[in-house]
Amino acid sequence: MVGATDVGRRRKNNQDSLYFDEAAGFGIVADGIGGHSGGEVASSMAVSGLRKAFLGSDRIRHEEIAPFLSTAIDKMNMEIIERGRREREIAGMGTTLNCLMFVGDSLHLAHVGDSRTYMYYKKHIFQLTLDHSVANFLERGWLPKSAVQPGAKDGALVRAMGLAERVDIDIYEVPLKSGQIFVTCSDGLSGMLEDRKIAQIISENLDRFDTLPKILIDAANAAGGRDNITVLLSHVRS
Amino acid sequence: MAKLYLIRRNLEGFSGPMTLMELKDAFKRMQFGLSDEVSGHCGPWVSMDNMEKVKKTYPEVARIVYEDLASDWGVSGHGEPQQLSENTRLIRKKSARGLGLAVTFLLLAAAAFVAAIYMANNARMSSKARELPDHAPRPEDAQSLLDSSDKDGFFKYMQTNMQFIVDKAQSGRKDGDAWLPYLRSYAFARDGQISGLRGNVLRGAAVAPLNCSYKTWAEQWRSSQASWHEVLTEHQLVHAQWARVLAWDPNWIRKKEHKGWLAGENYYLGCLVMAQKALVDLSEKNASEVARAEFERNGVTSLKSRLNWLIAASQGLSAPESNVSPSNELALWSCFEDASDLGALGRCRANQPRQVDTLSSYSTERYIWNILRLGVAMPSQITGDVKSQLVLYADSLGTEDKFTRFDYPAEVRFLTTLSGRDSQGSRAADRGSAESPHGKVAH
Repeated sequence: MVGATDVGRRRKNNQDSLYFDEAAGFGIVADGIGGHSGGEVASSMAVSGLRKAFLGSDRIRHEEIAPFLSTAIDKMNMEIIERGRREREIAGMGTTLNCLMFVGDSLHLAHVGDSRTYMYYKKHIFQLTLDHSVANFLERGWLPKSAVQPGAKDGALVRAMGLAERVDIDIYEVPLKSGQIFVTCSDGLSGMLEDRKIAQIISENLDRFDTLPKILIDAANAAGGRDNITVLLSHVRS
Repeated sequence: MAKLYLIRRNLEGFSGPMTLMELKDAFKRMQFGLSDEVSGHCGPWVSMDNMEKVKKTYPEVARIVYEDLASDWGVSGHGEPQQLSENTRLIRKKSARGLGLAVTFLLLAAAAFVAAIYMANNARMSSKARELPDHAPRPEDAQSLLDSSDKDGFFKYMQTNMQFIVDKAQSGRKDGDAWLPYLRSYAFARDGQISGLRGNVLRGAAVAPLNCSYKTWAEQWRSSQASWHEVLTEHQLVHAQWARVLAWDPNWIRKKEHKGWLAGENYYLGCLVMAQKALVDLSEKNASEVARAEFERNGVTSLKSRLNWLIAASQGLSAPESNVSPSNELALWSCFEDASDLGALGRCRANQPRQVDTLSSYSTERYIWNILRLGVAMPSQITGDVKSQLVLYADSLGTEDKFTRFDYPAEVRFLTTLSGRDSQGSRAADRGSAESPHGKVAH
């Protein structure tokens, strides 16, 4: 696993948070939401809370992973909400989250919001996660048009930690194959670079895997760097 | 290099990446179905049951999947008409003639066979033969089996046609919706899940966990055992699925209209039944003596009592579990819910366990909701101190239970009338801005 985070070219502070532990096969990317320092606080709380839950847990069996992830995220969601209620200046803060757990032959991926995880494999790239955006929910009929506030943007988030007391998360299980590279990123990367471009950069720099996050971040900054950029790469080797 | 595709199953798992040939093979071996989605390199996810979009986005996949369906299921009208060479036409013509002879022979043989059975049964066709529908599965067939109280026949019918029904139900079309009550009934009569069926199709619009299967509950109970005491003896509000479900209000479930379910059934009830079954199996059937003792120490009896009460009361049945000496928070809620007048409710409150911490204010909220429930049923009960007490809560109560998220429009209207002002509008507006999921959120 290799990762990096960058403030980008437009923002003054970095509201993204990143944590990974290659030995444990565990990684988290969170992208904070909210003015002032709220986003920073929320993403940092989510990452440190999940990290703490993970480190504090006993050996987790395969069937325990999904309940573990949902319980830990539920708990952190409430903590973010409660802190927002206590501290007026960060009220309404929230965060997206992608949490990766590599266990046995599978990747378990918990996802909420619009940070993404891609799978790169043999020069192909696939977006694994579904952005929890108004546009996607409308298209799938999961949200009635009447429920959308007038003027809401297509990319507006329907789900994120800190927005409501119940947070619905997606938990995916992905079978591992040697050669796969999982690209987990905040929308500072996916909003700046097309999927095809991300695949091309990975493909051209595979021999420099350790510096790949920096190369991707530089490319996103070169494309405008409108948001904070975080990249976590997990390479499955035989 | 061959093009690769990835299949996303039930928004939970993936198959691949795989080549087109591998995809064809996987489809034939039913490793994925029409309810799943496909994506190519840099391409969008497209649901397999959206034939038009698959044809447009991944025509090579459409050719494989729908032609395969056409040959296996008798579906016609897919793909372009084939251009045949003269030689091929000749061979086809000959084989068509041969096929015609074979079909004629088979028909004659079948007629002779049927005639033999007819004679052997003294001119009576077997009732089984009459039951077999000669058309694609229809919800009416499932209903007629239920109408004739043939539960076994119903289960068998559903099982036999499951793939067809699942695909229909997940198609998002109206004729698919007609299958939902039967599919849901079947699922919760068994283990609360159906392979290949998305959790949100089973749940519908219920304010409940996405996965309420027996398997999930077995895991929930097993992994949460060490936390039960937080609710039972430490009076903590535990934000976990099991604790939230135990807090459900059976009166709300009973009164709620449950669209897309057979009469007397609903997702909440199904979920509770799965929870109860899993808890009983875990703590009794599948537990050693030592484990049973551990479960008892952790308070499994209180959890079972609560589940028994919830299941009975949400069906409008009486249950012996509630009493006026509640020993813990769960029993206190059952006592509140069982109260048929303010006197009974007051006795529950007077005997409630000592409360500290987060559960205290929540139990008070539940007490207030129950006063309002009784008030809606018999407004004349609400006078004097009780009325003053309710009015005090008018601003802080909101429009739904803060923990279970169950809404109480009739109770809120009653409270608004009682407090003599239109506070509902302002509360609703506040809630909208605080919890609306639609307003982003620049980042």
